[in-house]
Amino acid sequence: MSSSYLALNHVSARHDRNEDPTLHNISVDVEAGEVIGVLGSSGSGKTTLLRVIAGLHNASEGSIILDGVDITTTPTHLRGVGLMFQEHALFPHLNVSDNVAFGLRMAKVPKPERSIRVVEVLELVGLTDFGTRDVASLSGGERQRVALARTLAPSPRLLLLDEPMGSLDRVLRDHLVSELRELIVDLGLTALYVTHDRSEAFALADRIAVLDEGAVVQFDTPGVLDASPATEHVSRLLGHR
Amino acid sequence: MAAAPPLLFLAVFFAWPVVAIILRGLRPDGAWDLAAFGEVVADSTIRRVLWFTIWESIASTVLCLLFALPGAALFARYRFPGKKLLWSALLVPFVLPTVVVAVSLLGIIGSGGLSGVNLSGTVWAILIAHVFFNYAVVVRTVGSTWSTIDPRLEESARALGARPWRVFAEVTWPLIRSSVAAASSIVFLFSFTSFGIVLILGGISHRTLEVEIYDQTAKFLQLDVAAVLALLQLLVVVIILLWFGRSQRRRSVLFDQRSATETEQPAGTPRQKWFIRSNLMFIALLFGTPLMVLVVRSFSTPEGWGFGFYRALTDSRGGSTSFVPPVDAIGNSLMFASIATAIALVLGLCAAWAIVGDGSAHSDTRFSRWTDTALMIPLGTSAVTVGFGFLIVFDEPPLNLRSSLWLIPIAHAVVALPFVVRLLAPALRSIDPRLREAAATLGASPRRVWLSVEVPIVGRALAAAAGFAFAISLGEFGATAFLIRPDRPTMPIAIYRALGRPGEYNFGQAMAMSTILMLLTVVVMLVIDRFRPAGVSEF
Amino acid sequence: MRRLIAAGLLGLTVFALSVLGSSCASEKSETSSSVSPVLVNGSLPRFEESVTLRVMTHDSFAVSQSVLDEFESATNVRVELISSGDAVAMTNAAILTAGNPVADVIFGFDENLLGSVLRSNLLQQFRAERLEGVDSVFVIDDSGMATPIDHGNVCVNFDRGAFSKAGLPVPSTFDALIDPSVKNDFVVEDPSTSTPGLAFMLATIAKFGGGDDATTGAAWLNYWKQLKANGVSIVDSWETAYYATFSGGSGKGDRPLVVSYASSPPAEVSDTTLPVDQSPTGVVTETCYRQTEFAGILRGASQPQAAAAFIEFMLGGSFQADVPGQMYVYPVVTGTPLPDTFAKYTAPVEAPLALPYSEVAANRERWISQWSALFR
Repeated sequence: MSSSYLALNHVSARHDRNEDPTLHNISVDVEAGEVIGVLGSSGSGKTTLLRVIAGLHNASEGSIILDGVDITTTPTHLRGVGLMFQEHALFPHLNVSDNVAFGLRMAKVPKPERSIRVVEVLELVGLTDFGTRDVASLSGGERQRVALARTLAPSPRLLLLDEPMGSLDRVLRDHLVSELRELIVDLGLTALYVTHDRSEAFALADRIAVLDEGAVVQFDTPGVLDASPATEHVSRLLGHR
Repeated sequence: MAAAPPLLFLAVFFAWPVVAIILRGLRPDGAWDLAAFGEVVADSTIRRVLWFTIWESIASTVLCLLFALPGAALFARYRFPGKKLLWSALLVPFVLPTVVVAVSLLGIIGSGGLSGVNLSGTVWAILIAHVFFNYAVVVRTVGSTWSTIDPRLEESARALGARPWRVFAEVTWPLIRSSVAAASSIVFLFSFTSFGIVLILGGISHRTLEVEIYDQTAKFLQLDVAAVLALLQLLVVVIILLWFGRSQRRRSVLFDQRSATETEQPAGTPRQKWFIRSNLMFIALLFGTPLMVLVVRSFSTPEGWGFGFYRALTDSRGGSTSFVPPVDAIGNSLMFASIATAIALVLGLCAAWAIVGDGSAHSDTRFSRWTDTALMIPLGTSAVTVGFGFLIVFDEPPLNLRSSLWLIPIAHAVVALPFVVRLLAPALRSIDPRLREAAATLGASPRRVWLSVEVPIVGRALAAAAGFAFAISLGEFGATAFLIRPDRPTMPIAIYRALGRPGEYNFGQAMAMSTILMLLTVVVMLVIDRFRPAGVSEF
Repeated sequence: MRRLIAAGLLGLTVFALSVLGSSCASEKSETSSSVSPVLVNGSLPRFEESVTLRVMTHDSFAVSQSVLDEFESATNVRVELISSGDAVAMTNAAILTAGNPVADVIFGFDENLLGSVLRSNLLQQFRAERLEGVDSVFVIDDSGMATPIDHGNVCVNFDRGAFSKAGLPVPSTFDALIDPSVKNDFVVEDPSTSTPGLAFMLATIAKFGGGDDATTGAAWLNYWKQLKANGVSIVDSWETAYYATFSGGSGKGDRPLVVSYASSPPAEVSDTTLPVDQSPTGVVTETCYRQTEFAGILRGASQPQAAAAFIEFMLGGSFQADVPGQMYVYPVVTGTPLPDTFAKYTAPVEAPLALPYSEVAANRERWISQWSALFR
């Protein structure tokens, strides 16, 4: 067994929601503090991979080790991973503060500490004074930041981001990607970042795992990937030719 | 403006007859005679009846929610074999005549029943039957809303450390609350005005206000006492409705709706498999056994197993006037139900639209609140009050409708209207006003906005509403028995006719016709559900 | 705008109601009228112009289509049937619309409803010529408004198989019903909601007396106390009693004694070669109570002559002979032939119990509340 922070050992998974494909025998090791890009076209299984790590989907085979503990069968709410969706999935019945405070409440953080932490995290994502706003009144970029703040607030052991920029426009996206990278590095978090966008992955990740039809076809640094794509598919995905 | 047609409809076909029959009771000779008030107030039996009616309704509602909310989750969240069929079949109890259901239930929980436990004459039999009849109301109303909630909201909560029951309490519940309130108010009113169930299963010691009103009106023609009781019923119903209405409004939350196919999933974990299995087991137990008793009886003839009773349905018994070919009864039922559904849907859309307004805060006026409440009142009013009211108001031209067949679909539509509104209003209310604004800025007239944005979005609710309206009409007996012409019976009327005569073949025919009614219901519901517009995500 | 419409609607409704209220009040005229004889040399008259006759009946009314056609073609009258629920609901609906009726003829009220029918001045006088052939025990309305058409008997039925299996004799008297050997075996309909239930209660009053006694110690009530002690079950309706509680014949329950009709046993016989003493169910003759169904011409009828013709037709041979097969009741005209099964499997009830209708009308409510006090 390796000494890595997150290890996926021969993980396979069967059908999830309608379209999602299966995962075949995936083995990935991630060091602490690393930001991993998971790159793949739609339907390649990248979302399922995140869901398996988050415990929202069962692995049919293999094991998942996080920080030396086997979490393969641990229920989601006990895994301590932060998960952020493309559509942000903000709770429509709660305001910004209450959204951000949600994970802290679940962790039974006392109220005074909770309020301090909420203010702190909102400041971190640049949304000071947004606390009492209704989430329906936010712009796309603001919603994305609230979702990030909500994920960060309970200090997750692992950050899982599923196309978090998916619904934003290009200019905003480029700006936010570099901001996000800085934030993750500053906080010393380990993160998996799922995207279908090559430039996003390259701007953000230390290493990139390329997924095709439920299998990892290449797992390397952006430099190596760019220089020597392992398959035809990878090079097409990287925009060569 | 949109509120005018439904309100006018209710004013003519509900308020007028009801007020007229009440006035006939309280002003018998053109002068007020309020002695009956004193009589009723002083009567301790009436107080007992009122108290029983209220607590029985509350207990039925709570019990129904307890069992049906997991059912709503099952249909909203999981994919399993036979789901579509089951979703349609849920409405079967709704259309079966009370007496048929009660006789089947007694075959299980009556004396000498299959379960070996005799509950007949106890309040438990009443409560079980109320859950049986109302399960579909909660599952279909709440399930429709629940299935539009993005499961990622719940998954986010789980990833944020919420254990399953907290996910429900903190995320799901706030979003389904308003439709739970809507369903609960309907279950409450149905239990509150329960008649046949209470008579047959409750024995002689359990009486509801509805039974009392029926007896005073149709049996004793004590219109003064009946009028006071009807007013009492109205009072309780209005109070309850205002309370439900308030909680429904206060708790409604706008959220982005998803299509149902996007939100359902097959069982993954053993826990989910257990959840699905136990739910299906419950459905099989509650619905499967009594309905099986019915179907089995329809095939067990004195000559052995076979279609004897079905063949007997077409035997004219020497050309009797009481004989109606089953095909004709089916045709009559379908015709009345189609007209009633059309009336209820058109008026219901108008009403729901008027109640919700443009979705902004200021559209929640006192007027729309009262409209909302007014539309529900018919559900909480005795069928006999309305039926006898019809007789005394529609007796002069131009509205000499007493023996007109039109009164049947109209009476059915009066009952179905509140369902339609209850299903449509929350759906309309949950539409993000920005969608409307977006459509308007794209150059759509209000009517176009309504047709191109709101109608498709409320499609699911509309399909559910059409299903309920159709089912209500198919199964309605109380008003129909009073208004029907003997040569145009509906299926429930034909069933009662057969059941009113002794003999294996009469009983068997009632069971056979009931089985056909069940099948017909499932087929019609499958068709309606098929025609429902696809989910929100597709435009 | 909306508020305005609402206010307008409300105003309109209130106005309509007040108009209605006053018109209802002024409608009551208390003149009684009568219809003259219609038969032509003893046969049905033929109307020159085709007319439509509306006949109000209860929901168990039935007649052979061929018999009805016979009337229509002989008289040139088209018959339109209107039903309004069971006999009680129908009668009360008719009373509610007295003077401005939905129909021309009403058929199907029994002697227990006769009192309120007469009191509410619902009908016109008409003495049918064919009443001559009717046994005089059925002609009980001296005012000449209600014409008897058919009669039946409400009797306790028993499940023959259950008694032979238990090795007990079949009960034949009221007293046999309170015998410990039939504890928890008897089901009765609630007299306040069911017609046969009411008839059986009246049967006990006719049998044991004490109907004039308003105390809880009335003789008939003592019998009910013994029934109660013997575990009698009370249910709401005939359907619940017969099909869900009774064990005999087509019943699906487990009690071998039920209040039903004298004509129920033939309906349980599908093989007509079966000897009478082996039919699945039978009747406790002593408990039988007479039930007569009447017809009358409604006051305010638009076709009184055609209505009169229809009543004569109902007393005619073909309708009378049709009655047992269609409605499980007996014809009132003496000498009308009975269908074979009917004649074979119904025990003759020589002298059924009966109470004068005026006595029933005067005391029914009190009796029911006396009974209810015991059972509720």
